[in-house]
Amino acid sequence: MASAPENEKNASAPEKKTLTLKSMINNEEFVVDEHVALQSVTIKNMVDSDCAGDVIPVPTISGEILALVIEYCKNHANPSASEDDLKKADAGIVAKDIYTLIDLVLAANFLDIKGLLEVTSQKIADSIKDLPHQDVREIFGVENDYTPEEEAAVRAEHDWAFEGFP
Amino acid sequence: MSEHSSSVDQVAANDDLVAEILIRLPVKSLMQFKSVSKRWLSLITTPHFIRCRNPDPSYVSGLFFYSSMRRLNPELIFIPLQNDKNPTDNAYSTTLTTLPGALSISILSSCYGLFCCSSYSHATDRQFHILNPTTKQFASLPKLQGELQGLSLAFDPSRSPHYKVVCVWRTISVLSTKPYQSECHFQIEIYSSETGSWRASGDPFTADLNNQFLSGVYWNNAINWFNSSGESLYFNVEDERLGVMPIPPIPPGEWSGRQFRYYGESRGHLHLVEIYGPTTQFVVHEMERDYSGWFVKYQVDLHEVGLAFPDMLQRLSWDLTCCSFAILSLIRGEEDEGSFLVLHVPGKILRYNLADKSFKELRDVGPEHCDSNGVIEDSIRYFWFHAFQYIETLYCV
Repeated sequence: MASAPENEKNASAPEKKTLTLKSMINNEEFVVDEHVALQSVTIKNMVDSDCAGDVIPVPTISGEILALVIEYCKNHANPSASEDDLKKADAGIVAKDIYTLIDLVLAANFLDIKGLLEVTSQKIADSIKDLPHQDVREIFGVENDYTPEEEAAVRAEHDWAFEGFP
Repeated sequence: MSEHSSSVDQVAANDDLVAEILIRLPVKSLMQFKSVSKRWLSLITTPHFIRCRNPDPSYVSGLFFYSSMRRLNPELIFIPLQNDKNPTDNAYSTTLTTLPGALSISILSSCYGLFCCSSYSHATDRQFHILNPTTKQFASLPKLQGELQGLSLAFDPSRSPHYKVVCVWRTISVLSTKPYQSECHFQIEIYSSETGSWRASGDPFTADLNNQFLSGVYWNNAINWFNSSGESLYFNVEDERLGVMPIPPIPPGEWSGRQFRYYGESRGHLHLVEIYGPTTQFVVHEMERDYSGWFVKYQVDLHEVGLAFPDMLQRLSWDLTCCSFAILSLIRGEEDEGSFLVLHVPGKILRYNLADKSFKELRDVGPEHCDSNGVIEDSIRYFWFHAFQYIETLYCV
């Protein structure tokens, strides 16, 4: 029967809902399939508790970063993607400079997407592991609250870890 | 950069997020980044962070061992035992640490990643230290007086981030009521890293002169001393109580005495191997938690290993009742399939899987070894009592 697939298609069509995510930084909007967006626990909680309107505003995340997040969610919502494919795709998403990664880790944290939080944190760790601690301090804008004496004492305790560093 | 500054500030202010990143760093970077700020230092040293970074406190990632044939400065060998995610973390482990002024340092025991060591120097007598080979931090124990019989480390991070050291010394001889029996008086002292001092535990006790208190095994929150002649004692560290541990009987007809070939702890299990006669077959016994007795955990036959390494079937030159192999360690996996033995056969260190009986070479150690004085060491020269499990941990000493 030729009409059977047609019927099925029609029956399933209303199931495929979409959501619109809107960056509140530059008002960019993204229309995504609901099952893709639901990988974010934050969005899932909003949808489950009927707090989500047609457009979900996403504060503090730029369109550029939101696009990366959605790319990640799309990849991981695809049931036919192999583990290897996902690994490669993840590596592509996090092949960014440190400040983009920091934006991305915040977004993953805010939207509560565990996998993205993990790969981004790992990439940040890999990017900073061979840097001198002064550079790390600068990247994260951490104020050095040690006195010179205290800092020397902490450093002396782990002198071996500073081999090859000034 | 300024467009990012708000994100940077948000990350920097979020301890959970910073910890999420720091937890993925190799040890060397972590130790360096303690210098970033006081806040980072405290993040890196919280017990919670330490537990999260190495969630399996029984995960043995390598083995340190040295030759039992040499008394002075034996070369310390390290072999990695797992395909770790951070191979660089193991690479630095070859030098334990630098103790100022120490001429030599030897490991006495290992316990969940911490080592108890002794060192000699020109200036002082033997000194004892607790060392973390992962962070290379060490703490020197306050001096002990008396005729020291042995020192054992008690540390279990699942119970407490603090460790204890149990020391046994022989007290000045008092007139024994039964002078014809070779009895001795011993006193136990306990050092606690929480208080930083030694204190006597209980009254002196009497035990057979032959009692060995040298290398106790920490298991079941007690130090367990295996004794080849006479009673084997244990000392519960929590309630400071001595007990007698049962030992399987010597098989009938064995006149040469007890033949311990391995004892040690892994993943909360206490194991014992005795081998009588030149055989490749043996039983690994495991102790019941309530000390009620031993049960057979593994039946091992190294026949296949012997076919691949026929030298191991030769008798030991200095003990004709033994085949030429030694068990360096028994390491239990999280699942039973992951359990294995580290074996020493002439010229090789092997890993023998207890579940599927497969084996592979880990490292060459040379068929015989000539030390700097021209003394030739035997082909079997590494034993369990000089082999120490390396578990990566960030606990402070």
